[in-house]
Amino acid sequence: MGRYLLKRLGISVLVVFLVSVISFTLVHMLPGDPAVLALGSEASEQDVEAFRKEYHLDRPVAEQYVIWIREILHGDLGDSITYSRPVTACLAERLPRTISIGLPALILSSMFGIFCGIVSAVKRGKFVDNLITFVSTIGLGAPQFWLGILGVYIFGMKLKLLPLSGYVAPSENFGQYVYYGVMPILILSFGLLASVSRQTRSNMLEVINQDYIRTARANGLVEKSVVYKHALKNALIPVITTIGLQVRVVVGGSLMVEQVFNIAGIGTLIVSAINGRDYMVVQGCVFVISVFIVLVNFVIDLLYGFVDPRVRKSWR
Amino acid sequence: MEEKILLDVKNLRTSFFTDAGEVKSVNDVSFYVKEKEIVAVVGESGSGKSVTQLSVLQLIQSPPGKILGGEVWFEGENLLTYSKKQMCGIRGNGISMIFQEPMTSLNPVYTIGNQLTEVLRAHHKNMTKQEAWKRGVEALAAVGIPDPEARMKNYPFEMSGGMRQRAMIAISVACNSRLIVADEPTTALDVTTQAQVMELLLSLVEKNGTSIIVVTHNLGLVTRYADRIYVMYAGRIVESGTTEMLLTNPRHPYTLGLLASVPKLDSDKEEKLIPIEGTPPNLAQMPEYCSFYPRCPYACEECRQKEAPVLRPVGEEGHFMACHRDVKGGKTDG
Amino acid sequence: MSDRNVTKANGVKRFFRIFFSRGWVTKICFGIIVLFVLIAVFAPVLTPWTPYEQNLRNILAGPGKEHLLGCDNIGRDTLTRLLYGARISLVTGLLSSIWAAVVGTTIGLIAGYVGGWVNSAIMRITDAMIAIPPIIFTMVLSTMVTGNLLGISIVIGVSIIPSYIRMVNGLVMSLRENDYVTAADLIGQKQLVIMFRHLLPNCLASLIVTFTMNVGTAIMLESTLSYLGVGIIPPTPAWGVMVSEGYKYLFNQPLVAILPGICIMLVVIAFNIVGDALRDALDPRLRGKL
Repeated sequence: MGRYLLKRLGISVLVVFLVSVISFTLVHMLPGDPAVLALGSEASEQDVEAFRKEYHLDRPVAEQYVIWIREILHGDLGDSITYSRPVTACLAERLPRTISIGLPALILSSMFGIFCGIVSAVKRGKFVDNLITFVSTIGLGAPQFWLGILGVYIFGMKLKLLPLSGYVAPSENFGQYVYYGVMPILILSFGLLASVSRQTRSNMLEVINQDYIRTARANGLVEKSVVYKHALKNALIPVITTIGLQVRVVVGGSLMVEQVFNIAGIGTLIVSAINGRDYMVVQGCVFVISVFIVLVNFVIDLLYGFVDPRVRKSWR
Repeated sequence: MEEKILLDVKNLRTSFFTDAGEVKSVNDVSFYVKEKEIVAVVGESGSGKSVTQLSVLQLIQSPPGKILGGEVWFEGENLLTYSKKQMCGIRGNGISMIFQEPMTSLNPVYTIGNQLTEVLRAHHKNMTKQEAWKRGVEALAAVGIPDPEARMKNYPFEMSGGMRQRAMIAISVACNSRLIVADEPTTALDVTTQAQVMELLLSLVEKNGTSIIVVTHNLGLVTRYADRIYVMYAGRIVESGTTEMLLTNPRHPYTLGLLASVPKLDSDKEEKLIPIEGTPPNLAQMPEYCSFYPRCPYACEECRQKEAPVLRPVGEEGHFMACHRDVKGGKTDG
Repeated sequence: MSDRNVTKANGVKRFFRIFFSRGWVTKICFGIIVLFVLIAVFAPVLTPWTPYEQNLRNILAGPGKEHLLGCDNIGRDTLTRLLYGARISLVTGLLSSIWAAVVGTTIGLIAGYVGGWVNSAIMRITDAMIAIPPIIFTMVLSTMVTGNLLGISIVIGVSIIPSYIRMVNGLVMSLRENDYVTAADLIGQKQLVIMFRHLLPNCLASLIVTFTMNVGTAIMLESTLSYLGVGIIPPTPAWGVMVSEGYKYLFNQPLVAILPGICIMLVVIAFNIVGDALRDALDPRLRGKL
């Protein structure tokens, strides 16, 4: 087991390194001079020089990368140009908001998605199956920003049930958090729910045709045990991967949802940082998010071993 | 000495409704199995021999499959009138089925012990986990698995094909079924393991008084073990009788063909193997006349004009066949 | 010879039978794609207005005889802008998928065939690219091309290249184990010949399916970028731009924001479902893999 984990860990570290290179390169391809953008076009030559020196913009690109990485290893993501404070501080302030929307969405959609997938597979061809398939088709095809706007229009403007936008932290007032958060969370869950339920459904249908399911039936096990014990575990193992992959989608989706509902989270931070050419913030956010996703996938790999004895054996 | 009849299937009909039309996989099939008897059902793939057995246990996927009619009498009850729940009590407990794919027929994510005790406890509601575990170890030992205590904790992928087949048999017969249906039990195994598995099944007959139906395309295999043989072709039984009758005095052209295509190990003579010409018929487009007509070396114009032949007694008592003509050992008669 | 023609004809027949076997859903979705392509081509003929024509008397007008679906905040005809929007969506969707398919397939083929460290290196870079959410990835890149249709297509293409690399690479790796590739190797055929003569045709079914699905993904990405203000920029009538502009006047005239979203949804769903049907018709074994 040790060797396998070590290998996976090595690959993850390698991917994190590549991610850092990519996010650095990506950000340095941004057009426009950050010094001019930050100080305004009327800034004096000296001010611009000083600014460039402060943010190491006068150094060669390769050196800038080394400086950046060195600082990351010390837990420092550099300073934001527009906010004039450490990027880590910006993240620390905004990350909890994004998590308080994203995590419930991820949990909700995974659980509900698996449930819908099972129901859909068991009631194959019946009305419930068609309904779930229809809803998940929409979930995969509708743009999230538009769903958000539609929600605002229907539940906010017409029915006046929910607020149009805004955010309250759960630690501040949980009731208000739910009141403001329910729509963003539901809309963020929708797409993920659709893909999880689709994946669960097709896996279940495939597993149901396997020989060992026929054996289980032939041995006189009741349908409940056949479906919920023998089929489900085999069907859910690949779904774990789907959920892992979808973390990426949730992160991307929260960017849109935050934009629509005016939540000051990581998503809005990135959008404004890109528009403001805030190198350090963009770089830092992209890096942190990607590392998080790599980490999630690493954990997924571990999880695989716990549920699938075949994988566990290959660890030894 | 009249033995009791354990399973009596009458006029069973099962069809699959596909895009290409109705496929009559089991077309008016009747057969019976006596106590402590080994019966073989022989035919090509697609002849409906497996579907017949799956229909007996009502394991047909529906849709597209459907049991259209007939009676399945087992220990005095017609199983076709049973509810789903009642059928669960029969499967694995009264009638067990062993499948041909030992590699894929066990659930890969549960241990042998887990799957074995689950079946035991499904049929013995009052059995504790400890008792089930003990019975499971005994069942594994009974099928000749060495170190059964340790094997209980193994996953299927940790065992060889022969071991898995044994484990699967152990699970199926753990509840001492009266009848075991073995669907191509040895096809996926190498020759030595094949013999061992057959011997194992034979020992069950002697020890527990179990009856066995062996479904196979391998006529050579069954001639050594079976008491009686049913030959199936295109969803119908075309000839039936004791093994000796069919071997020494085959009457249906298809049986003749089957015998001619099997190498005889115990014969010294150099015999030429003769394959049966043509391919199995398309079951979705069955003719009104005899379904073997297109491939039959003895076919004549009469065969094409008359309706499909039905089973009729020939020769000795208990020998039946379905052919308009009477072919004796390759010579036409009448 | 004639035998082969017969099987070929049967194959085509079988393809269409399975392709449409899902009943009316696939037919409708196929129809939606055809409809939007026609709309994109004939947009100027279908409407008397241009997408930029302002009419201040009709600001946020509701549906009426003259303007069937009303007007936006500066009096431009909503229907006209929707029709022209189809051009932008379809062009970016197709352009980006084609260019991603060409680049991704080539890289995937090379990586899969050469194997060894080249393969590992390419796959790790792909992993790293996949770890960055596509929206963020394209957002950063799209700032370089400011609203240019071709530029946006290239940017979106870059973000979907990894999906082709992974798919092709996986297929090639498994095909390499097949006997006929080994056989070709033994005969001493040149590697390039092996790659294109044997491996590419085997990837074709998966490629067509992935391509179809990716057109939907690309259209979705483009509209998202446009909505966020870093894709196609106003006044060009991209659907995402329309949603973003209409959001401000949602209370007064919801049609401006809501209708373009419906168009995006219809097109994306249509491409997804046609992709599904294609997969079933071309190669049912791919079910659950793509």
